[in-house]
Amino acid sequence: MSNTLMVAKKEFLDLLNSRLIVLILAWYVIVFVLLFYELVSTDQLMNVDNPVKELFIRYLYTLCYYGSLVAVVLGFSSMSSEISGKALNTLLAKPLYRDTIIRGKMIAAVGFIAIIFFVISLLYVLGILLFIGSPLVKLNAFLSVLPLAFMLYLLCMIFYYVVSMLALIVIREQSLALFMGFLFWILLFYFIPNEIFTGSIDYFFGERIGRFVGGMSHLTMLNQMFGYMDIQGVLVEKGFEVMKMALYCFIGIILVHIAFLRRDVS
Amino acid sequence: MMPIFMVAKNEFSMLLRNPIVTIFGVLMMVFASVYAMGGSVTFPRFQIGDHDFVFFYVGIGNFYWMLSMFFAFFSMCIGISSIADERSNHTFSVLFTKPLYRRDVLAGKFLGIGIFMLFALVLVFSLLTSFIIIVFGGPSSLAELVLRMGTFAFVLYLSCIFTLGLVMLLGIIFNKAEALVISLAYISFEWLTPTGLIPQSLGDLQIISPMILFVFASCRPGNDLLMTTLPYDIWLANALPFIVLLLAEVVIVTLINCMLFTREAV
Repeated sequence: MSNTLMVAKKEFLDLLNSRLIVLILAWYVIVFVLLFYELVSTDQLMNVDNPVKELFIRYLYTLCYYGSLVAVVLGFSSMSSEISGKALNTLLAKPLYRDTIIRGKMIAAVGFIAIIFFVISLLYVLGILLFIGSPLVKLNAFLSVLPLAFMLYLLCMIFYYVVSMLALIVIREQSLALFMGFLFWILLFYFIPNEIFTGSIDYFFGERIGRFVGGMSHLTMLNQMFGYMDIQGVLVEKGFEVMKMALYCFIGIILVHIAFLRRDVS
Repeated sequence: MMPIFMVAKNEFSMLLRNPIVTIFGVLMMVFASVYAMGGSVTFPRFQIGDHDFVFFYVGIGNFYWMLSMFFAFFSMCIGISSIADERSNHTFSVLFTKPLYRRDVLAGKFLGIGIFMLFALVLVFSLLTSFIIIVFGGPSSLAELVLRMGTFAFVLYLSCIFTLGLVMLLGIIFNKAEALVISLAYISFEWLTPTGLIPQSLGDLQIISPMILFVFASCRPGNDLLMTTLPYDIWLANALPFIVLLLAEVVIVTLINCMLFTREAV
């Protein structure tokens, strides 16, 4: 087994054995139950033309909006315990390239994220089977949009995972690194797309600059893709937004590699 | 000087040097500047109500929610760095060798952060209000401005202090990563969920939520602090039960913190 996979295996097992996974899954289950309860109790799915689309939007929102918060925690916890417990120093003393460690951690994180995706999707499938009429047709329609959901979910999660990790590598003080990770999330998911902020830029500097600033937010990018139900449709119509999300991830991954290779992590 | 005040003074001076505070300050400055720039174009266009109405209801009311959310987030980050961070860094072990009661340590920290939060709130409120006055002109009565903004800041302060107490409690019970996930879940459910899932699901029990108490106390429809047509004393009479309940929650969470911290092996 290559070194990268060995690091990935160790990281993956660490994640699965920690109490964190229970909390993360509990977090998703609570969000799922509350969202589904709201949908079913208010008959929101019965009063729309395309209930699967409505459900898909909620599902994608749960995955990306709340999921990216989980990604910040994952990125932070993947490095913080090893830095403070000096395990990283031991690992760096082994005959391993530093980028092997980072790659291993990322592969493990992607595996972990995929498991969470599987569990959440299963919950939604069960929800459809239990609460929505003529489930098979709707279930098939829902299953067909899963690849698109996975792609967008992965792009969101990887970015916030990498940002959080990067903050911890660059900034020695852990609480500040954590703050920066969350701050990035708040800026890109909450602050920038907010009408008060973007609207003010819009009015003062003009619509083009306002749209440009607003377009930097993940929420704005996702909002533009919510209407589509297949990967081809999104890539053809909103390919630029997907490219922007991929570019964010790419830049984040490159920066985390550079920082980890050059930074003294002790 | 009493030990509790010595700890509080130390905590306050540590916070002044904390980079989180600097970054938060810069963010608030950017927000205030952008908001004022946009306001310079939009506020004069409002045709509803008189100048005072636009100043309070639009000028101040627009940033009401975002500012409250930012301060909740800020309280969470400071709370995490205050207890969970110090526990994981084993700084508490050093502190416990000093001739101090454990409850003095916790109460001192709480007091120090509390005073700092009040200081920060007053500063940010003054900054934002001054910017609005510069671009749009002040209200006709300075006393009304000080009274209403001071009350708004106080109610928000109570809400922030509750968040702080809760995060400290989580830092006492759980390890850093777990405390972090649960605090984050609390902040996102209370402040970052656009659909307000928890209050809807709880029905009448929503009143126990500190965020709901804060909203009911400050800007409940029909009893809005920023509505200048509503006399201050009538607003206060209606809002007082919610303010008292919020204060009671703060006291309860502080007492629980002191009790648990005194008993727990750190």
